[in-house]
Amino acid sequence: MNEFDILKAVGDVDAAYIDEALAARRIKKRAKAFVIAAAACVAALIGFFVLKSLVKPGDTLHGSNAFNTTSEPELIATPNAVESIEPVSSGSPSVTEPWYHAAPPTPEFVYNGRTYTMERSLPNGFSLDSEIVGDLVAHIDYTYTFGERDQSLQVITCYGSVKGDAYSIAGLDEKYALIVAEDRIYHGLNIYTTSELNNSPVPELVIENMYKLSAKIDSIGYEYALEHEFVHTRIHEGELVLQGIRNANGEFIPELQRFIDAAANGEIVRLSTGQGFDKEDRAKYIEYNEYVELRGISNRLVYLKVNLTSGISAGINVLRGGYLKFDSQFFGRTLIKADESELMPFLEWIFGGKCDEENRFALLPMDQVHERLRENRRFGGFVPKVIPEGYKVSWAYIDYYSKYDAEPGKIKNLDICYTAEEEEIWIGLEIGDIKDLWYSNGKIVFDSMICDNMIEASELSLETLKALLNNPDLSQSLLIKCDDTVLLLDVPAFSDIWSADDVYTLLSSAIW
Amino acid sequence: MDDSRIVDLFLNRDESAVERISAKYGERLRRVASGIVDDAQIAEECENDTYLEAWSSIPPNEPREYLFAYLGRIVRNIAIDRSRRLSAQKRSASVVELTKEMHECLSAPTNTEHEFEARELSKAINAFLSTQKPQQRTIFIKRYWFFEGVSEIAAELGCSESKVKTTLMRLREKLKVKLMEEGWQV
Repeated sequence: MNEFDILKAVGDVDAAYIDEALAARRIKKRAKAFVIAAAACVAALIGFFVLKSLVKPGDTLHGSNAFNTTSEPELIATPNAVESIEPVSSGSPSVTEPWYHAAPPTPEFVYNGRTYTMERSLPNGFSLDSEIVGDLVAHIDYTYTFGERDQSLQVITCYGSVKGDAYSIAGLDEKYALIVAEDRIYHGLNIYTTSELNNSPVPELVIENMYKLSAKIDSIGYEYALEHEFVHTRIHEGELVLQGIRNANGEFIPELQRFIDAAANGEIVRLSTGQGFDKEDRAKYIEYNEYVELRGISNRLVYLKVNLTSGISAGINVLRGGYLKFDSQFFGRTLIKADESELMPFLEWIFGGKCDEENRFALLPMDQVHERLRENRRFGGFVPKVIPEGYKVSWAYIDYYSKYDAEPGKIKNLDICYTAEEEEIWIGLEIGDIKDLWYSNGKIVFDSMICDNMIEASELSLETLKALLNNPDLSQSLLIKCDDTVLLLDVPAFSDIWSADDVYTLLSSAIW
Repeated sequence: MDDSRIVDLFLNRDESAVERISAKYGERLRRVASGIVDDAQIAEECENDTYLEAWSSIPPNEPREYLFAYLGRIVRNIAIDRSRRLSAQKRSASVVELTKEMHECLSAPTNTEHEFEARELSKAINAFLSTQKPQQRTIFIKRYWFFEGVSEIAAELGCSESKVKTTLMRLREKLKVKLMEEGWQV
């Protein structure tokens, strides 16, 4: 007997319970319909009396004769009446619905004098209704590349492997997926196209440039690159990754710089985007004390991961024209001892652009983090109180609700990392939007659906907490739910460092 | 056409019985199957297999009062078996999710008499559900019988998703305790 048998056993429950569940649905639907109908009746009655009080016999109404007491109503079209009509669609995504469901903005862009039309459809078999695309069980993210300057191209990226199959989907855009095989580590790319790829001008562009780049890298040669600590490619979980080492003067090697420039100028289209290494990989590559990974390129988007000796790490999205935005989300959980004060000048040195907090992602100095937290009242004062003795806040990452989300300007997600020597712990706050599946580095961190470690804040006593922290089986994080907010604690890390009393004090100050 | 008359059609070996249940319950059965096989085509195959199984099993069975539950059990079992076979290759995300959730309640014993245990387990789950409040029971059934998603359940019952999740989590915990008390290996 296994889990399938258990599910089957549930199937044999009393038929009355099935009817009960079905009836609950019908009752709900009926109740909803009743409420809607009642509301409509009330609104109609109110409207009737309000209008009746406003309209006098003999008045001429435009478009309706409901209250006109003359025998033949006169319908007059006026310019004002036409002007008052709101456009059905402004061409921008709606605030209230997921952007990928919204009406597409102008679906075309120009490259080398040629206009490309993007169609808002996905390859067969893919759906964006869920965070799980088919059997793709990995981190999936939607990268917003449309900003104020240009809404012509929206890019969706998803990462990870299709379970059980030998390939990865490296990038999924409006109409195409780049499927990259992993059969030749360090040696360029093999690209498998779908029928959509063959018929779309955009993939043609992508493929052309991918081959171009691949050839270029091949011409340099992996051995040569290694020998000179120059630049080399590798494929990590289906992604193309370029790594380059800075020279003794702290400058990027010319090849890489040119590559960055070309990407920033829109001369190279996107290859793939990716997320940070997991810990094992990080350990493997940490020997490269200073390196830059150029992880994704689009005609308007550069995606970089920067690692310096000091451990600074951040993702950077660069839109053409020096428009910067940070995206440390995917790297936050693998960051080590980051200090954003070192990062800013570095970024500006690279791109000569300016950081723009208007974007969804921002890496802020800690005082600004505090300020932002105070704005979100519930967690006011959270950060200063939770720093354990001997630790310092090494980085904080804030993801704001953007104008495309429900609560613009509010903090959506906050990760704070505390560091002491080699140890690091992090706390994540997810505010408002609780996702069923949280992913980190392509792995499910926890699934709140199946996570027994979720507890209502009001039910969390010191005794409960002690029991949780002392539970050797508790390998996942502890979720503490308070209204629509979830506090995620990395329990193993906590239990190594703090006593249950310490944690309880921390939580008391943070939540209650 | 009411269920009893449809069952009569089966008993009289009238093939229009299949058309009747397809028209009346087809979509719902397909949804149940989709909840676990995660593939529209396979779900449709499960639905068709259900009709065949119903044709073979009525008579001798006469599920006049519980026709949908009867068909639902068939389609669930077919879908679960399909998923079990598929799982040897790759498992759909929803199956992973559902079976993980169930695994929380009961670890899988080995070398046991499956059928006997399954019957006993069904009885235990039934008894457990009988002690629950109607809304909690409904949430459990919707999730693990109909394989509905949390958001779907929340929308149907007019409550928050977190409430549904918390309810499910607590039900699983209670079920686990109940099964332990009855001597199941958990």
